[in-house]
Amino acid sequence: MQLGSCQFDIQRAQLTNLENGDVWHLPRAELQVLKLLIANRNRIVAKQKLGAADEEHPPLSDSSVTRAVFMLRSFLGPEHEQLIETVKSKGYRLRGEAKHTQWAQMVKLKRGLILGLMIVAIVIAIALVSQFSKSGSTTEPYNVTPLTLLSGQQIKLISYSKSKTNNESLMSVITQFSAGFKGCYSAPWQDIYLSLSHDEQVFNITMRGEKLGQSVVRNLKLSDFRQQKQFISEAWLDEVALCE
Amino acid sequence: MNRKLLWGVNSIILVLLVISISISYRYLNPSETLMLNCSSELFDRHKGDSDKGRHYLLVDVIAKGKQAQFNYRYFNLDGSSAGNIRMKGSLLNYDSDANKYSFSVKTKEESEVEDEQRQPEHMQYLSYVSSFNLDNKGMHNLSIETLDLDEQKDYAIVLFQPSNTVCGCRLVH
Repeated sequence: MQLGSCQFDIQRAQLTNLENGDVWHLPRAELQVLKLLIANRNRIVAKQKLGAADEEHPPLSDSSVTRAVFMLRSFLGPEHEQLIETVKSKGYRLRGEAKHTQWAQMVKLKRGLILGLMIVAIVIAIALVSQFSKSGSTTEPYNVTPLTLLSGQQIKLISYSKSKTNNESLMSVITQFSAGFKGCYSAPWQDIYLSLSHDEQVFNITMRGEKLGQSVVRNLKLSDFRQQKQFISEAWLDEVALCE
Repeated sequence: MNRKLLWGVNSIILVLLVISISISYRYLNPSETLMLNCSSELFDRHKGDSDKGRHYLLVDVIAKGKQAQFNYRYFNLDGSSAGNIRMKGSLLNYDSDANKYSFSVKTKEESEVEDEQRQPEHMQYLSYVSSFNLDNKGMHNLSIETLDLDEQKDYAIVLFQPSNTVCGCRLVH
């Protein structure tokens, strides 16, 4: 028989809290009071009746009845202590209907549900954290080639590619481009960044260096939509004057 | 399962949820300021080595709060306008470790074309790629990753994806 979150086993004279598993073997006063309250559920039962003597035991004093009610309420817990209602100057009343339900199964189901929800919540939280805190790594250059000018100055040719394979076109254009520095004694550039667009239609050159203590950057973008592309030509290299 | 253990587990879940919600909020509502000005010399190589195939390009990238704007202004050698493309969208994510901004472009405005032959090939290319994505997917996603940065000298070398374009830009404050 269910009383709040507790199950009352009349045969064994014990109350079991199904939430925390506590078991209380009821003393005589508590057992008598609870039995009478259950037998008169939703009806007021006078203190005298609750403490009446039976065949085996003497009557309970009013204070014993009061203490028994207090102990029963304590065991029912703050959420369910109101099940035993005090009706001033009249006695006590056990509220609610007796539920001869499969409470234990329901509690098990409830526990399983709570556990399941907890696991789902933890998985979601971990997934969210890992998803959003995941940082992409920085893009590494595909190739870095040093270029030595006549003065001994070194320039780095740094190329970027979306793929680590099939970059023949890129390397071929870079070779043609680096020919533009062959006659250079020196140049204001330190690093030259190169990339071929994903569809190989645009060749991008970014030259970075210093001139008179100032940072200089020059961007060159060469477009060629033809099937047979020729991004770099000698005439173009002369035109753009890479050494200056 | 006793009440204390339940409360303990509940507290852990609550803390995890608060952490994940705050991280999610931070990533879903990134707020970073990025202002770049990139100037480039353009060469249309199929037009040979003549001046006809030469143009200048100024790109302004402005990202403030969640709003982002990209202005591509094309010029002829004499300084006259050769067209422009303005794209607007939002900042989707900022990865501070990779120093990478991810954007979603939603709208695009292009200057009217008088003579397509005179339009810089780079502009035709950009127009085609962005329209392709906007028409098909309703958005054009792109990212800008900083490869090299010198805040003292106000420059940054950046990599645009998915076009795989390197570009040197001036930092605007």
